[in-house]
Amino acid sequence: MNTSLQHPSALPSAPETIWRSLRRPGYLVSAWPWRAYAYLLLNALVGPALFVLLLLSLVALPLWALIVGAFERRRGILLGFPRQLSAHAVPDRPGLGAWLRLRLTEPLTWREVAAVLVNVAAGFASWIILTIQSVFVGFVIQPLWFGPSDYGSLFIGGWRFMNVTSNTWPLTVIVGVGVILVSAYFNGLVAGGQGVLMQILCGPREAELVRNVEELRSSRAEMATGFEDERRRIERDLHDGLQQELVTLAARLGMVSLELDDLEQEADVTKAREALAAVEAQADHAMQTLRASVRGIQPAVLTNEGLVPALEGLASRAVLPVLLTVDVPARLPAAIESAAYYFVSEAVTNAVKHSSARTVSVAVFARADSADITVSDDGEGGVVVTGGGGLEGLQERADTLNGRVDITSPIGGPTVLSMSLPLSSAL
Amino acid sequence: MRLILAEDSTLLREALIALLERLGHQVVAAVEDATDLVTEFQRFTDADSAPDLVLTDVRMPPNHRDDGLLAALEIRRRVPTQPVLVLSQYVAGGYARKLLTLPEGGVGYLLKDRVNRVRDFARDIDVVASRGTVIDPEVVQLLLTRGDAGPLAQLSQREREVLALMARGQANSEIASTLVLTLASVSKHVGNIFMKLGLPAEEENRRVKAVLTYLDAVS
Repeated sequence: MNTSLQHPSALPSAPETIWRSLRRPGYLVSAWPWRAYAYLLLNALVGPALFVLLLLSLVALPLWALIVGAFERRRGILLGFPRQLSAHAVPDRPGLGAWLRLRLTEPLTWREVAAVLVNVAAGFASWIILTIQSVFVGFVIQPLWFGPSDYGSLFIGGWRFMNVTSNTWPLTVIVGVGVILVSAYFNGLVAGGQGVLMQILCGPREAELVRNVEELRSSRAEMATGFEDERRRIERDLHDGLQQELVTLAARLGMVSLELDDLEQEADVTKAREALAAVEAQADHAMQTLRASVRGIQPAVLTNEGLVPALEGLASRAVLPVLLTVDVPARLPAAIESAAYYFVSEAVTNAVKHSSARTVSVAVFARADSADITVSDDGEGGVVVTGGGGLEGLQERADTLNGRVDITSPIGGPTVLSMSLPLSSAL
Repeated sequence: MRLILAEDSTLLREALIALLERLGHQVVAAVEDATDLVTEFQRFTDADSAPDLVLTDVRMPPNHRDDGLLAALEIRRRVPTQPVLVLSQYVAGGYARKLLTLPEGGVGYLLKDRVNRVRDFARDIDVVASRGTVIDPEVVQLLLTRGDAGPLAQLSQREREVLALMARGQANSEIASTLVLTLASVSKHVGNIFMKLGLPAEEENRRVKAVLTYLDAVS
């Protein structure tokens, strides 16, 4: 919270645009007429260039439209408009064919085609406007050309506009200056109008942005689910491969120990027994290590039996007493089960490490549309979320499922971590 | 004793057969699939030569989930007195509860790691075959953490430890040496457990019932 009052001038003001500046008295002496002029100059370059391109390759019109769209979303900056985001969707499959199909079916692409046509027309219009304005610039600077005694005629196109004589030259300068001043406003209006039109044509519509955000979300959820599948696969590999081999090793060691029993009748096997005991202890340790790391990857009990048995296992291994209150259906979507399990795991670890808590309470409830997990401890509180910490990871994990994480931890406790996951987001 | 063994890993199956035979048992059938286990068991039972013990893995084909456990339960459904010992890859209360709450005893649930302690393993096999109940210490630990309600709440820490060892099928003398207690004090604890769990002296197989009581309490 801010404790000091900010000076009003420090507040960010609305951005200056060509439209705002046109209404201000200082317009003519600002940079804005020059910006409008630059905008029209760009028109005069881009329009005819596009016209030539279209003559050569009309079929590629949508392609040029995509480029023009990208250009227009940025050109507005010249007029003080914000840079617009592209609302083109991301293809769900790789490959040129999929990309092309998607682009050709998007309304935005066809709005950009309209922008190309507007640009061609605006290009030629800008040529005419700028040419006429150049003539009036000529009016102003002609005294420098002709010199005081060397008068001639002023032409607009092929039409003799007036003869300039020693009597009339001040008039031409006045007319020229007047037209140029009016042109500054005229250009501003034309550029501003075209800029707004282009923003409407090439900019994002709300529905398109919403759709894109939805797509991003679902692709992120898909990715999270992909990770879960991968974890399950690794867990299976470790259990069905490495663990079986370790157990086999243990069984074989057991047989060695039985053989030693027989040998004991005839020889001193103390040394052999000691060596074997060390090997057995090592094998034991290897099996424990394996089980611990498999749990870290994806507890098999979570995959096979679901959240409740997995949380019971977690509670029984915890250093602190964990009071478990659970009301969920037998199975939830895999991604939800995983997220909930790791949330509780991290929260309990956190309580053990940081808060001098004596007991931890875990509550998991599933409603029709969401799963809510709350972990609270009776420790001293003051838990902060640090970058890269486990708690931050929890937030990221919840994000991928459109979930929410809330952490309250006042000094003196208690610390309450809660996560709510919408059940609809899980695939 | 005659056993049927079900284990899908060839390596481990061969090692277990060798170990069991070294312990003086006879593996009459070794299968690698939960469906085959039930079929083989039925075949031997029909031929009036039911095995003394069924020893099975939990995660096996066809579904690679709790197929072995389901097969064990199916076998118990067909022959309620058939001793069954389940070997699991990991601790899971749910699995154990399903199996161990069967009323007749003669069940065991051990972590696979336990084959490491070959003498304990040999004893566990004998206990289950003679209708005792064997529960892996880690599973006991897991079940006890949920045991904060019901009759178990009345037990002291020491009594819980004794109960946990009873669940492993240990006799009083073994419990005494494990916990470094005198036999008399173990007997006192066991008596207290029976009393607190409401198991009168005339009750048969009180040890198994005591174990089952806390399983009931937590399931």
